[in-house]
Amino acid sequence: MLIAKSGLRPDEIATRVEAAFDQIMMVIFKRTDRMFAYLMAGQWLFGILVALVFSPYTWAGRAYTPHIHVYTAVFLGGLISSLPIALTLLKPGWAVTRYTVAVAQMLWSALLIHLSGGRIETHFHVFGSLAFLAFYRDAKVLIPATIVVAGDHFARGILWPESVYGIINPEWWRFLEHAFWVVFENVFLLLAIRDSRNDARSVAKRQIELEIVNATVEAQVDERTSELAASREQYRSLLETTLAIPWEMEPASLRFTYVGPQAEAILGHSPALWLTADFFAKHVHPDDESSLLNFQRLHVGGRDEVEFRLMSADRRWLWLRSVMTVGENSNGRPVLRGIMLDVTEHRKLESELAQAQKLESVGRLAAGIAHEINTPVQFVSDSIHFVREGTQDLAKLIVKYRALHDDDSSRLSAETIADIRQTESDVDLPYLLEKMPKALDRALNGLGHVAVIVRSMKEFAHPDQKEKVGIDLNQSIASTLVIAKSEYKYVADVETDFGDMPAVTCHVGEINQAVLNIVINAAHAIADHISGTDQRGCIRICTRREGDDAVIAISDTGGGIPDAIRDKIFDPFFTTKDVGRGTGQGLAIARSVIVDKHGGSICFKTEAGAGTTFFVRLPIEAAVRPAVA
Amino acid sequence: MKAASIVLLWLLLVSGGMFSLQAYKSTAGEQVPAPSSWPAGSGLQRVAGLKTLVMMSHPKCPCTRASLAELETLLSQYRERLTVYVLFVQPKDVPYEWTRTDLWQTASHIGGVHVLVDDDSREADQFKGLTSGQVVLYDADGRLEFNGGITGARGHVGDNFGLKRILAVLRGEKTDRADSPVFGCPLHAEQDASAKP
Repeated sequence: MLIAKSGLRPDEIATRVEAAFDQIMMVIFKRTDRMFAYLMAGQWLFGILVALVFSPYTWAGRAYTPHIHVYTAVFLGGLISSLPIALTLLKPGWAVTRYTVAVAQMLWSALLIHLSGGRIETHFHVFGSLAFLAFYRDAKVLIPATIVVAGDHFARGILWPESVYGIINPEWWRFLEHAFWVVFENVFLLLAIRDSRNDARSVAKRQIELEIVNATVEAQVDERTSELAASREQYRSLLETTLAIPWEMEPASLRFTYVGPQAEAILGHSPALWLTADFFAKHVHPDDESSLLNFQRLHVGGRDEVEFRLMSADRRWLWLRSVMTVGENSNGRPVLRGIMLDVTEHRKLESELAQAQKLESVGRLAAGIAHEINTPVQFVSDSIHFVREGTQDLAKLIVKYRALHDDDSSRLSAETIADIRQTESDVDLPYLLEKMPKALDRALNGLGHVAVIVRSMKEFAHPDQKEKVGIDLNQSIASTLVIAKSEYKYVADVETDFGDMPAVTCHVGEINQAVLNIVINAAHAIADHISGTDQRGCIRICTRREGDDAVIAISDTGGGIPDAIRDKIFDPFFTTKDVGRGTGQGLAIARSVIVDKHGGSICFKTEAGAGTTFFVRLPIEAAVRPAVA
Repeated sequence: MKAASIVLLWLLLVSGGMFSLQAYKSTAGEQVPAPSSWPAGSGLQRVAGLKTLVMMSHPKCPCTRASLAELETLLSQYRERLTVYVLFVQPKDVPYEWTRTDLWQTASHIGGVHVLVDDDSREADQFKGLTSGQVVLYDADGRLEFNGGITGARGHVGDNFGLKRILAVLRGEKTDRADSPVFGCPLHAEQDASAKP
């Protein structure tokens, strides 16, 4: 099935099988060539040995010369062995090599028979040689070998018949009788060669099938490995590049067994430290230790979510929300797994939002209170006015009455006059006549201030209408300064320089809020700058018309804005103030109102130790309906 | 083509070598007719009623090893009907050990064979022996029945004319010839041979 999946056609497979078979056969050819190279050399040495042992000399009486067998063994034997040895070394596996070997081997049979004096045993070399040649598993190799044997018998049968057959005139077919046994052996050798080649072909086929299967499996494994690697990389990337910290923990010991790389990035502790036995216990906030119970309470399959604080490497407490589940590891033991999210900023924002909402509520209440106060204030002011006027009238009457008792012609008794004078002394009438009007003036003045504040608060808190309307910007700024007085009156004096200004089209409430935020920031900057001294700062507000724009410049004599934070002061929630003293939204709101909602601009110039000036530029639009009073 | 030429040349050379070797081995030694009746000067004893076979050998001739093998084959059939002498020709002035070779040992181990030293070839000369391995066969009356070698080529055992003919004689059959070539070393050196009859 895997072979079918390989996509190879049957003829392609057959070609590969044949190539593998040829390779197997080539290995056999070369191996057999090497064997025969050694055999040829050995036979040569053996032939020389036989000649030297059995027929070293030819004799005539006492005289002797080396026997022709010796020369034959050395030279003819060397000649017979030389070419096969050379071919096996230079052309191993070559067809000509093994055919030459076959001829040479049979020639050695003939030579050894000569050297051994025609011993019957030496004739076995012929049959043994044929069997050795069959090691090539090439049927064609037997052909030249058989030809050599048959040819030798045929030629000698013609030239020296007695040497072959022992008779003078053998029949023509007598050589076949000798060749028959060679052919007889050849038949069995051919059968063995055929079977051996078939076995080799089967091996080749199995080898190719195995290669195809291996290749197919390897391809599948590679494909699966790539998919697995891609999937793992995807999951690893997802896991390790998100802001959430993946983790794993032994529930019994609360020891982390894995944390993602985000852990070090967020908290600064190295992964090795995370994995220590008591890391969690050592770094969790004392007030959140109970959260550890959540970790240990879960059973397999359980889920939970908990928030707690951990100490970072730079000694900050960071809020972490952990979502966890209980699973099992490869050993079947329970294991906690989850993700942790840094929710420190989230918590901070929640706190500031709550503060902002509280302030908003206070602001709404203030508007209502202002509205409610306005009427009784008006009553009191009117009443004080009446009393002030009445007091003036009574003072005139009292003066007249005093003239009566001072006049000698008055009919009042001396006792009555004395009583009146005593009472005047007791009540310190002169003092009253002097101070009461002033007190009433001060009361009226205070009520006037209250009325201004209430009116300013009403104006400030008045909900904006959906459309922009033209307003008196100077008046609006003045009202806002009244609202903000409590922030600056202890630390700074306010100077205003309002220029001639046409009606500026805007959302007055939002502009008031923006100016208020800048003034409050100025007051806080002065307060921080003069802290510990008895100095007072100055907040100066100037308005000018520049072309189509109304420009408001708000300056303070605070400490200036440091270089490091100058590009952050308009960022939402950025603040250098303590919690409760500012939400970090003031300048962000001012910028949003001025730039985004009114198409204006806001910028500043600052000098360390000298102060800061904010420049607000608002576009003036001419054709607008006037603001409702 | 180059390889084919080399192989062809090699085939020609080895074929030539084998041909030369075979030609040498098929070249018979010198031979003259033996006395037609038992030589009176021979010191060898004949046994009444038995044929007498004499093989003349050079003690060191390697080809005679084959002749002795064929003699043993012959004797395996006709030992009882023959008196057999194997003479090892000993040249003058050679030590005793010169003649006691492996051939001597081989001949000595052939049953029914008298192995003798033929000092200075005296007996061999009686029978006109010139080549090692030559065999003469005389009948009970001293008439020559066979003279020649009993191998088919130098140093070669196996079927051969001489053995077939002498066997036929021993069987009382007719043969085409009563002689055969002798394949072996000369019994005498050339200068000695020229002085012999």
